[in-house]
Order: sequence, then C-alpha cells, then structure tokens
Amino acid sequence: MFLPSRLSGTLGRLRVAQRIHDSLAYLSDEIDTKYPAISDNLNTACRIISEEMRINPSTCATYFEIVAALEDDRFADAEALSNDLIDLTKSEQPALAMFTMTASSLGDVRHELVSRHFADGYFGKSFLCEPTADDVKVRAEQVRQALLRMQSTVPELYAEVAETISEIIFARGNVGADSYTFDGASSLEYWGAIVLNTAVKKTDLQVFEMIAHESGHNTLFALSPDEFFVYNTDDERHASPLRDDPRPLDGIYHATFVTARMHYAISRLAASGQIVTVEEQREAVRLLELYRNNFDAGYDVLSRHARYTPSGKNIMDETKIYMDRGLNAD
Amino acid sequence: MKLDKSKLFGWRQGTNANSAAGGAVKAGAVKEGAVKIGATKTGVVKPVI
Repeated sequence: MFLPSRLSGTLGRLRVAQRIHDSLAYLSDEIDTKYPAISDNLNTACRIISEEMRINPSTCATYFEIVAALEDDRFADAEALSNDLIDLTKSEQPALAMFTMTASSLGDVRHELVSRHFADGYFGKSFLCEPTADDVKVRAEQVRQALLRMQSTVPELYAEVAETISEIIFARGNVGADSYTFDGASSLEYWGAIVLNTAVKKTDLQVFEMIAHESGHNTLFALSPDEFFVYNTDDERHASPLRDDPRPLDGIYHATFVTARMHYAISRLAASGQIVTVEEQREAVRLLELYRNNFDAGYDVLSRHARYTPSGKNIMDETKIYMDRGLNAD
Repeated sequence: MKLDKSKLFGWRQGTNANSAAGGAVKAGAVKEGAVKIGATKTGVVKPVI
C-alpha cells in the first residue's frame, strides 16, 4: 500500500467513487418521500457514478455542499445543488489538467468550490489568491517537465498520479503574520486536485517532489476514507517535528507518509541516472537527508502516541519497511 | 435534518472535530485535518498537515 502503482491509483479512485455513491444513496433514501425531486436527482447522480466510477473534484465538493444544505434544512439549495451534481458527474475529466486560481480559468462554480473546500483553520478562508501570469507560466512549464520526467523515471508513480489527480491548480498564497505561506495543498473535500503556490520559487527537483507530496495526500485520503488511520481524536495534539504548532496525530500520520513518498520519488529519480548536473545531484542528496530526518521524527511521534486503526498500522508498517530498506523494499 | 454521519464519506464516528470546510458543515465529525497544507517559512519547506 505504500509503494505507488497504477493499480493503487485506480483502486483509490474506485473507492472514493463507491463511498460517495453509497453516501448519495443514503441521502436519497433519507429524503425520499419528503423531497422526491432531490431524491430523484441524487439517484440519477448515483447511476452515473456507477457507470463511470470516476469522481471529479467538483462532484466531491458538491456532495459535501449537499450534506451541509440538508443538515441546515436548506432544501431549495439542496435541490439546486443536486441539479448541479448531475451536470458535474456527467462532465468528462481529463487527467492532470492545469488551471489558474481565477474564475475565468476554473469557471465561477468551480472557483467558489475550491475557495470553500480548501479553507483551513491555520491559514483561514480565502488564502488562495490569483497568481501572477509570469509565475504561472514558469510553474506550469516546470510541472509539465516534472511530469514528463516522472513518466520516464518513476513510471509507477506517474501512473498513480495520473489515475488520482485530475486538476492541478496554480494559486498565490497569502503570507500570514508568522511569515508562513502555503506551499502546496490537498483537500479530502475536493479530492483529486492539488493546489500549488506559484509565488514560492522552486527548483525543478522541488517541483518534482511537490507533485509526489500532494498526490501522496490524495492517495492517503483514498486509501482509508471511512475509518481513517488513527483512533486518536483531533483535539488530542502532540508536538510535531514537522511544524511549530502542536498537531493532531492524523496530520502527523499524513506528513510522515508523504515524506516517505517524497523520499521514494527522489530516490527512484536518482537511481534512474537522470539527475545529470552536479548541482542537482547535491540537491537530491540534501533532500533525501531532510526526508530521512523528518520521517524519523514523525515516525517517533506516532510510535509513542498513535493508536492505529488496522489499515493505518498496515500502511505505516509498509512505509517504515521502505524507509528501512530503501528501493529494495519490494 | 439529522443525518447519520457514519454512513457518509468524509466522516467517522465518535469524533468532535470542527469543520475543515470553512463552516460548510456546522457539526458532527468531519475530519479537522481534511485539508493538508505544506507550509514554507524563510525558504525551509515543511511537509505539513
């Protein structure tokens, strides 16, 4: 489950589609007699999802919007959203399409959905802003080259990324009072997309690892969308070796997993012989050392405090095996 | 209306986490950590949460 593959990406996508399908079917049953129009729309969306077994990020976000509307007894909103849901489930979604964080690029509805479903307690609402055209041009080319490089040097990771990620969104992040800005972001509620901050300058190698990092979060979301990875509740916080503020163990779990995924990506790239300049070879060595240290620190916190779910333990055990054995893990 | 969160994608039973969707969901057990964000400070990238 740790090692990336096309199969892992496909299974993850199917799992998310199945879970959303089942959730919509439950909602449809709950409102069947009282609001038949909404129920019919949800059933139609279920049928389309069953046929396609592909969920695009907007469909995922709209599902969360419908849950919220029903909970708040906003049934007119729920009906309008259920109409949107049918259109969204029908729309084709190419893999790895690139967008800019603007209404003109994403469309009004999707732009609003991205803003709402990437809101975060640490960075707040609306921390994703329109990037400059020059920054987007540079980063988009870096991403294109990184994906080509990944396809030829780490094809199993590329295949998983292509199965998992349908939207790459370029944004500019606000800088908070503590000087932090976002680097990249992923959201369970907008599953299948990654957002990259174009205002943070990156080397080509760092863009390569960012794709491995953010797609790793999406993979992890898909691997266990129902029971999650640790039984520890989110109000239980621990000192994180990976961030200044105490964090829930679920977050430390995610960070530890994606750190190992970045280590894997750069290790495979290096093993391919495709890092040709001395400068980039030195950078790769530095990055691998950083990942090793961050993984060890994250794993140590988990070992002392995490109460793993069965799947959470299995995945982290496999992750540790990779970090102990390197590319000979399989 | 009241919904059984254990039957919904994005929730797990028994937690009291806040919404990660900027208030889109008022109560229940949606994962607080549903948004994963890497942060940068003075050029040091932290693989975050």
